[in-house]
Amino acid sequence: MSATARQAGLLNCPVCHLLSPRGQRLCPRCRTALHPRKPHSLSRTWALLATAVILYIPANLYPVMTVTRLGRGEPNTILSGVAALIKAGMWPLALVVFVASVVIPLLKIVTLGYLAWSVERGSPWRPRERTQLYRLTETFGHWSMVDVFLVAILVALVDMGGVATITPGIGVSFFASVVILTILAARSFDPRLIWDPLDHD
Amino acid sequence: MVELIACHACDRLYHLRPMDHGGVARCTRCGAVLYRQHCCGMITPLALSLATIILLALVNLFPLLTFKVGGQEQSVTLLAGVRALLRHGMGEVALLVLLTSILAPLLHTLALLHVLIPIHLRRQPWQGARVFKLALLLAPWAMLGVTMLAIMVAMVKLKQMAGVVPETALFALAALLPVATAVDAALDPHRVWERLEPQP
Repeated sequence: MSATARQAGLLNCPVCHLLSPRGQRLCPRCRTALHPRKPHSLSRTWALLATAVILYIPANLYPVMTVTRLGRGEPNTILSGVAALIKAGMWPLALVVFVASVVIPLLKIVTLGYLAWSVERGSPWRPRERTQLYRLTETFGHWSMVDVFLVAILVALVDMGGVATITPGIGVSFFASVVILTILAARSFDPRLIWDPLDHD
Repeated sequence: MVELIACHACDRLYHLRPMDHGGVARCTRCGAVLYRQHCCGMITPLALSLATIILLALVNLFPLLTFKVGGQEQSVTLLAGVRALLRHGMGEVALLVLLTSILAPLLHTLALLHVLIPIHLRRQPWQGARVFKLALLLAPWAMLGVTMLAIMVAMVKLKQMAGVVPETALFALAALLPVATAVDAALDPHRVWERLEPQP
């Protein structure tokens, strides 16, 4: 038996995993478009990553929300939100928020960038570990959304005129875009590209 | 063709072999999960999906938290979070929260029920392949676990300002998370696809 589906002339359906002979355009079972590899995988990944990097800057500079108490407004960025949690002595929670909103997006951008670069060079180095790295970026990516949900809840909950009001800031739009862009970048990357240089000799 | 399976992460081909219940077949070269032998046929994911839909109704219809400050009280539902963002001109963020915390979990579960109930009754669901595909595509966009974490962070943050009281929907959400995980574990997409007629 040939080693890979591509060598055997088979296309793996990305949704239902039915194998079809090459030349078939749509999966006969679930009507999903079939390709030997995700189309334009690397250029899409690069484009989405580059956009995410650019938007990451305003996402951290602009406030994600403004807390107004007794007439005094206090803008909160992602990092100052973490700092406030630390100051209040809630460091376990501060750690969770820091990991979800700062560490995960950054690591995800760096990891996907590295993976795309390694595929671009046709690197044969540790394909198994690189595949696992990819799986991690896919699994944990959505936890960064925690800050977006947090703003949604706080804005709805704390709306009491002069006493206490929380309003969303433009930073949350940028931040949500970064999270979605990194999720889409991870999904457009095709881990099978990591293995292709090893299968082509 | 049916007895072959290709690793989705590295494209290596394997013969599909039946295993013991609870068995997991992994790709020998990249370690990705190829296939799981599920324990319980269609009835378990069906029962768990029914539990999910009931809990989802509670999560969406009842308030999550009540916030008390200076004699004023305010309760919020999930949808209120979406509406608040919309009111402040954050349409795109509101849409994202609507999709990931309300629509995706709800539609995912409804689509599963639409497919699993007829299959259990040995009938063909209407547009089965299309609806099941929708269920699979929506799954990664359902982020209730993340929503739960955000609510917990919100509670702790607000404790500094005033009183926060957890309400019905929050308890329902806490109950929902393990049930939703159990649906994923019990559902065998491979077996569902086998029972569905191909899309014309």
